[in-house]
Amino acid sequence: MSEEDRVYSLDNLGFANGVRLHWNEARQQHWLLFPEGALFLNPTAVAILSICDGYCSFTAISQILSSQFRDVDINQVRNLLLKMLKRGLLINKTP
Amino acid sequence: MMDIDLPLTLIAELTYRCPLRCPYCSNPTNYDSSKYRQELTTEYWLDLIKQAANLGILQLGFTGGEPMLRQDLELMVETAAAKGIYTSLITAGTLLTKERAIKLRDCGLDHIQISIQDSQVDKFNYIAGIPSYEQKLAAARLVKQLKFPLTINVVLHRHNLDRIKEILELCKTLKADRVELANTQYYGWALLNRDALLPTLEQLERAKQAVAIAQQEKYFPMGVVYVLPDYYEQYPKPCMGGWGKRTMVIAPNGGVLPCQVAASIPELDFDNVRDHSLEWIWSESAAFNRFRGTDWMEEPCRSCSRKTVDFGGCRCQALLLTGDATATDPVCHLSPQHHLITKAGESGQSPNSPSFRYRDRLNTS
Ligand code: SF4
Ligand code: SF4
Repeated sequence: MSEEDRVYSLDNLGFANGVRLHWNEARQQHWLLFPEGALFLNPTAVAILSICDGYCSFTAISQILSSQFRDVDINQVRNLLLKMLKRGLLINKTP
Repeated sequence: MMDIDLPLTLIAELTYRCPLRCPYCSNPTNYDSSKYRQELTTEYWLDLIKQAANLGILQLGFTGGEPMLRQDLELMVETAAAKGIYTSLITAGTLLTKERAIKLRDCGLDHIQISIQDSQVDKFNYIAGIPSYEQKLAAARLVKQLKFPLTINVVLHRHNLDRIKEILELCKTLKADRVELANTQYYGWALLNRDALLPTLEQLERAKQAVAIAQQEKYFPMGVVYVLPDYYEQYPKPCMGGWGKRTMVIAPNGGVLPCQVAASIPELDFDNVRDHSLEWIWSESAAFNRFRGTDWMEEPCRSCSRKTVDFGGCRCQALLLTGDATATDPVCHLSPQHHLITKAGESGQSPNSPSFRYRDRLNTS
């Protein structure tokens, strides 16, 4: 199957092996760390990724976020998760 | 005063000793001189890792030579992990026993990168300079078995490029999470062997196609990185993401460099961790400030709009080919010395290639 017609599911997302969140004391910042890479995370991204424990459906993630933040842009959440999924940083964990 | 970013990555070259003899090795060709044989002690390394954490370092790569030759590797990993630093072991894999791999995992090692030379056993061993095919493949399997993410690194050159498709398939069979295909960088040993290593344009063209298939079919969940050789591009790469901008390299003897081949620039003196703190070296040392930012540039870079994109390219390459480390990297087609690159690329077209000059085997006990 080629990349274009791949269908991604945003349910049951969790970190792939070797991917983790990191609070950097010196920088006072949250980062996502993975093989040969690091992404700076803003507070929303931290909140989204913290819910990715491998057990939540996309709907559940959206609900949890809506209870934490006032105006959650669901499209933005979807895009972030999709981007991470495509890079192999998040994977679908089968429940 | 210019703004200085905090460093993101520390590359710890623990030793230049190595059981392999790769003809493209980027270690300095005087790697066994007394200068490099005085390796930093454990105490130094553990203190450096703590200093690195205070400097905001996020990624720490243990490399060499062969970092597994240091029996205190586990201690270093443990110290870094306690600070939350992401640790990678960059190894040839031949010394990775199950016992040590488990210990490293328990100490908090995050990721392992193993290099392979080819897909065909005889070619593989010919390039490595010692029989190592079986051990390396076994090491790669062990890494996956222990649930580490696995990167496989392949240095590409004339002698393995014809099998790029088979090499990618081998990586897929080994379940690599990511693959790095690096074209040979012509420093150190690779420069001595340049005429034997330079690929032909047809080889590179076919490699591009094989890589495109691996990307399309998603062979590797975290992707495949393919860096085209400099010699065939229009613009230079932003070497190290900018001099003194992201990365520090600590050589086995404690010298601190902005990049792994910067020792090739004779005008630079590298301060040593035995004399200064990492923080001082990063922000104050002459070597780190020499090519930081854009103020040091000459024309055509000085008035070019890409100067904050590629930072004028690689200083080591500029020196190597033009004799002047402040010159525009001759890879750039705007460089007045671009013809030097065209000439070097052409020797890759000659049908017969000279044989390799191998690095000697060092005492690796
Ligand atoms: S390139 Fe080869 S010889 Fe050089 S350090 Fe790596 S494995 Fe050893
Ligand atoms: S002239 Fe200098 S800054 Fe401009 S593209 Fe070439 S190397 Fe880069």
